[in-house]
Amino acid sequence: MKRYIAAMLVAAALAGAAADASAGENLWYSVFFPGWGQTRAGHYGRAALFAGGEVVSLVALAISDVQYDRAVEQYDRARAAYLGATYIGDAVEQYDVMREKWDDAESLHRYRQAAIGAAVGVWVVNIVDRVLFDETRVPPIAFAPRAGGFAVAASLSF
Amino acid sequence: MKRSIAFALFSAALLCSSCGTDHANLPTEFVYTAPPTPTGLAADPGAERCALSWSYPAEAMPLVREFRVYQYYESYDMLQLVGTTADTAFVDTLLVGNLYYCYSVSAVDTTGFEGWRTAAVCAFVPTGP
Repeated sequence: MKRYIAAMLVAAALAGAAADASAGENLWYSVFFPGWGQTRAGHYGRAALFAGGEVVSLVALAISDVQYDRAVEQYDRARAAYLGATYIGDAVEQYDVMREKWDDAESLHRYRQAAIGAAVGVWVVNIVDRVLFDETRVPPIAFAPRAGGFAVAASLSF
Repeated sequence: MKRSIAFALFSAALLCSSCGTDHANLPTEFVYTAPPTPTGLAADPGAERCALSWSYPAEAMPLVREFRVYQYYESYDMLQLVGTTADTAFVDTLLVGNLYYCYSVSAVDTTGFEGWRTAAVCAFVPTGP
């Protein structure tokens, strides 16, 4: 996992250095924000897929991360209660509670790992998509700001 | 561009924070060993008093620091500690007569860990002369 993060940070740094380069510029936009490069190239469907997938993955990661931290906190409390028990009845009861909290933390840990995998996976596929399919398509309808308004351009391809 | 840089940094920070914490290992086995439970608890009521006696394995006696005697309130399903003793007998005094009293006993080992309590034994305590 740390390799992915390191790769992401290195890629981000490289992207910053090459931000002004014109060749393959869309790739670096995709490095920064999945789907942005695809948007610039006119592939709106794929852009929505990557951007949406990344946002959903990160939201799932944030939620599972918060829930996991809470589950670990509850597990630590149950563990302290179990280890501090002075009556066998309390110890048996707290042991069951502790096991239950540990199972909760374990399953949330798996969800969190899955969300990390999904976030990194979407990001990597988004990059691969830009590397392999770097053709720029003219968008069917484009808006461009002009002095005092917008210019709308439409194109037809055969 | 600023937004995308912020997004990249946010993603990296979220991923870093997620791989940092981890839950500790579960103690795999139940680590406690309780002292044996007293057996044969008997109540011998007298005038505003109740004498209790029980049996305990002789080989386990050196490991016992004390016995705890509880009064059991059936209506509230609640135990209240009424006293401790190093012997296998106990007398509860200054009771209000003409009432039922229920008792339970447990053994506490030398480390201070308390074993299972016995089932409650009840007796009717008469009023004094």
